[in-house]
Amino acid sequence: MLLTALAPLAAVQAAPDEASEYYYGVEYDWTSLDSDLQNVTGLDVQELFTEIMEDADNAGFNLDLGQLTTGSTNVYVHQTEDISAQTVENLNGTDVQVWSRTSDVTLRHGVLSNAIIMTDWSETTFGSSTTSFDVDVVATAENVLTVDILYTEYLNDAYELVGADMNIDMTVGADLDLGVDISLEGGGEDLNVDFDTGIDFTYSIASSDAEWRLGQPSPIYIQAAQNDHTQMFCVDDAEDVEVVIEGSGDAEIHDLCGELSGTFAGTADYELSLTGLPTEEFGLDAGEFDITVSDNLAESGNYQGDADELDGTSFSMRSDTPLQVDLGDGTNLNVVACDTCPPGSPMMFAMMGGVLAQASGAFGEAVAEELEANIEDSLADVFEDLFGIGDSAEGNGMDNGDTTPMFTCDDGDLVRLNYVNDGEEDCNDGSDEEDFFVYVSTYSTTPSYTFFGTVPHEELSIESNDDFLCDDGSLISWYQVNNGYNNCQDGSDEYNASSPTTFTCADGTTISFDAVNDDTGDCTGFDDEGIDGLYTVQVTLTDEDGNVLADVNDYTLCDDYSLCNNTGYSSYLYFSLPNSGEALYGDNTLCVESSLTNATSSSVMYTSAPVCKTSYTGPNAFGNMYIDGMTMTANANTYDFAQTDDATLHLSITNNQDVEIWSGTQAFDGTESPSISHEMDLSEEGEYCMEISMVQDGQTEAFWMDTRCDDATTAGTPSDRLETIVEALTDSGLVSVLETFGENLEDTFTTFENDTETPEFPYVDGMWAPLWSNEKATIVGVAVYGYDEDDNGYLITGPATTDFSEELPMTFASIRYVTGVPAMEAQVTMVEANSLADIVDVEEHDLTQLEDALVEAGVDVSDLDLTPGTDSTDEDETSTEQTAEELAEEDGLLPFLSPLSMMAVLGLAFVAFNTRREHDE
Amino acid sequence: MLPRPTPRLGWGVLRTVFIALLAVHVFISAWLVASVDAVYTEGRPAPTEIHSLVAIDKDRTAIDVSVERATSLFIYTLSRDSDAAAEIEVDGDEESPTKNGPSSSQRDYLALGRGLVTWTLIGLVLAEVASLTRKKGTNALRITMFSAALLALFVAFPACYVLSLSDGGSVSENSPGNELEGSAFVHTQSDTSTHLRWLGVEIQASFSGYDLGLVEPANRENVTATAPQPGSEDASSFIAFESSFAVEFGKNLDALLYVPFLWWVLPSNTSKVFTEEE
Repeated sequence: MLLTALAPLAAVQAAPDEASEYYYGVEYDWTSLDSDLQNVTGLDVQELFTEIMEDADNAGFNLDLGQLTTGSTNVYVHQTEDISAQTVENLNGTDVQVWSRTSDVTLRHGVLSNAIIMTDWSETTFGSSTTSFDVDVVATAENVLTVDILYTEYLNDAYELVGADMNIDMTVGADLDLGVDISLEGGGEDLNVDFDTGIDFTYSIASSDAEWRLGQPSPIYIQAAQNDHTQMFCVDDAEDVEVVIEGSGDAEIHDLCGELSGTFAGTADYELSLTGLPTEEFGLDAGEFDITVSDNLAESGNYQGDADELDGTSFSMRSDTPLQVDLGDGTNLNVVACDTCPPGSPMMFAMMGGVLAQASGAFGEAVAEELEANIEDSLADVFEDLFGIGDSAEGNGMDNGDTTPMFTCDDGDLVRLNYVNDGEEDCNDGSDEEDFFVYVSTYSTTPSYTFFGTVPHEELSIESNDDFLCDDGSLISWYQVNNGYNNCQDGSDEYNASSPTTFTCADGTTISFDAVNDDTGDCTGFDDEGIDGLYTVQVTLTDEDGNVLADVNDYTLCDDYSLCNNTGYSSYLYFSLPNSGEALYGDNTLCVESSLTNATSSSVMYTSAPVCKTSYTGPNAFGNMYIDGMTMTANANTYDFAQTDDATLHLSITNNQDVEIWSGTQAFDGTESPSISHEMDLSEEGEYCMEISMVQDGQTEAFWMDTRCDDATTAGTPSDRLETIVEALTDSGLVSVLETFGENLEDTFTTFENDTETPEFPYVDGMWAPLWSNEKATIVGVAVYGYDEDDNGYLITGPATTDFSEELPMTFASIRYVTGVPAMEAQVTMVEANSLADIVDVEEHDLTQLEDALVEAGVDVSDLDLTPGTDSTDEDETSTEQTAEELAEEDGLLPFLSPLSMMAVLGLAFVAFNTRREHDE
Repeated sequence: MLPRPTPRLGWGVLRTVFIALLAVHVFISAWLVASVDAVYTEGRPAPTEIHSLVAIDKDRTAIDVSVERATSLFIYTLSRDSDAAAEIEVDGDEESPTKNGPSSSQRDYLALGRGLVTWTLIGLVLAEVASLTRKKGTNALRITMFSAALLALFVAFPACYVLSLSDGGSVSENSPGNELEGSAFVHTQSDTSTHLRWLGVEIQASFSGYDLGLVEPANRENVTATAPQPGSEDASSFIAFESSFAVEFGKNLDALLYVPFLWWVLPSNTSKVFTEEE
């Protein structure tokens, strides 16, 4: 078998003599999920639910759980070849002769699930009101995914890939309905919330006539059939096109991946609904509020772009494990597992990714254009507002008024200033990065400056002169100079006090020789210490008015850390200085200008333009204000790590006439961070504001300020009642009930863990196996194999495979594999299925099973309605209330009363009159 | 003139039963139905449509709101700078009405209206019962109570609803979106027209202006002073909105018009007629 698997390697170098046709597919029934899970873990989910419900019952409250899931996932592939001569245009528009191979893929996935949680508890003690909760939650979820792909790839007679066409239609839909009914009672108050909410979303993208043409025919399939590992990379130039074969059966194909183009038609529908909200809970007239928000976005158009998605497509063959499979036609085909392949043609999946990405991108752009808004900018604003990033954050009141300064690149683009000189090029032209720069920052709590930046050490000649030149022309090492030994034969490396000699620096000055190699730089360029490359950094720091705050001239760079501040081996520059002046609290703008000088030549090598930065110095504060009914609580707190003792915290409260009704101050005393808290009753409804500020001693203007406002109203709010009820629940026996429940749960899980016999997993190894035929140079099926400890092979799912048993020691995934005629018939049927009802046998989703389970658990299900979109219960009157439309259209007690009935009454009256007249006559 | 049957006591009993049923029929039906249909016709939130239906009956108000083609409104709402409103409020030195949420007066007006309708309907039935006693003045009483019921349903209750909407101000001031429009929009234009409908009234309104929430903070002063030139960046802050607000009576209320008809086709003996027959 090994020989037959390896034999046809060269067979794909020419067009096939006979057309092939394959069908295969996989199906999964989601009702098997519980049994699959139980097979693997031994866990019976339904039994566990029952145990949990009993735990709750034993603890003293009712808890009922239920779930039902029905669904089906089906994927079918039909692959055919047309070996007749055909003509297609290549990327250059030239007609080329090809043959074709078509994959028709049908994917249908649908899942319908229901889940129920019902729980209630009540306690009535003598002399006090009832405390209780009753919560019912019913959830219904529907998910549908349909994908239809018709992929036709074109190959020339040399079996080289010329390109492909694709029609794809994908629809994904999700519908989630949630019915919530909550009744709380306690402290004499009750709160009922009964509403239904739903989210329905559908996204559909279709691309017909998608066309992909490579820059030139690619030998991808030939190489994939001949090598164990083959990977495709996209290159830009034709001269880079090549096939690189490495000795171990690895091939790299460098190809012109070409372009992808096509038409698209996309729709995105959504509907959010919230129904049954009790309006009286929001202070409105008693009633019900229903809202739906929906949209239907539909666009179509064209797209075109590079086929970059093909970059990296790889084929990794398990040629060490040749396989023989029956594809449903009774004959065996030699294949190998391609464990990096998807369950279909890798090139098809790569093209599908490209088509979906480009079509969806084009759809998004079309929608944005249709909305006449730049979604990107708008969403950026939204994110800025939500997360306080960027310019929009300045309005949130709790920052320090710090704006985001921008840097203008040489090409006109804008990038954030803090991206400048951060080591990464953020401008397209790289103009945001300088070779040399120094930046300044301040500590937020202490008045000191920190300088940091980079130096272009690779551009500088920072190196040591390891050799000392003796007077006799010989060379010794610098460390041997003035070491007490005559290392030069003429002794010129040693200072002789009896006959003092001198050392001539590079700049021509002379110093006494005893100053040479004494770990102190005496020459300007430190060449008396063997330094061949000394640089100095000059930094001038000014405020925004140009007043010099600090001046640095003696920061040195060389390759000796004992002699210089920075060795230059690190590109990072960092040093700090204490603040020489008295900084005011609040925002301070500092500007730094710097330069780098070659100390030996005194030439300025780099200068850095002045960079200014505004940063905050001083303590910080935060505050909050709560108005509960007509009672206000205002808090102002600070955090001060610098033990400030020269500032004061102020808190001021104003009413809706902007009149100050209370104020307080607290001085920073250098020990604890001050805070102010004040609670007061408000006399009138309206808007009240609190202003927190901090003022530095000796200053009149606050260096930090924040204002917050809220409304006071006498109208009761749900939160008032909720608070009362929660307090009552907290004070009730519920806490002990829940504690008991927790203990019971712990016991249950422990018992379950001990009693549940986890089946021994019989497989010690497995293999994901998209089945690659070297003979056909394509994927002809997909399988999953398992191996036991004796290396016996089992077919978990896939086509019948020689030497792999279908008698499984354990079934953990009830996946059904179909090939041949059954696969064809299933695909023909399923391709017509487009809705959940088509894909899933909804009749099997028998909610009576769920109700029966609840009845078995002692639940009264007479009021339970699991139909999506309807109220889950009608235990209280709010759940049966009509919507406004239903109420407006309600026929009332006498539905027959109408203009027609009015005419009928008139007719009757006429008959009655005639009867009377005849009687009188 | 329409023919009339011979007065009988039985007719009177039957009529009283019918009128009681009519009163219950009206009482349990929706009394007032208000609908709002609005559409953003220009600008960032366009083409969002908002449809709202409010139905009020004897004890509650049901509200349905549907926002269609909502994506543009959603993005507009999230992306506009809500601080723009506050700036203009201060700069413009305009006092906006304090919004404290629904006040108790709103409930009071509707409660008053509901009380009026309930008691007049009860009075209508009692007057019919009284008319069976053939006492003098009962005929006038039932006409009075019928008129009172009509007035309560068709005049007093709608007035109470409008008062509850206005809650101290005009209806237009309290219409949805007015707070936003009044505080953040400049160079506004608005138009309102009122039309009578069968058993109701419809108010059509249009509004347009430049939303400062869509203008860069640095440009707001300029936009406030001068309307942006067409095609300029700030011109994209222009927004136009059209709405229709209709108030109609519940569809079953006209059943009350059967009452005089029943008086005519099912006559009972008045005191005078009874005496003559004797």
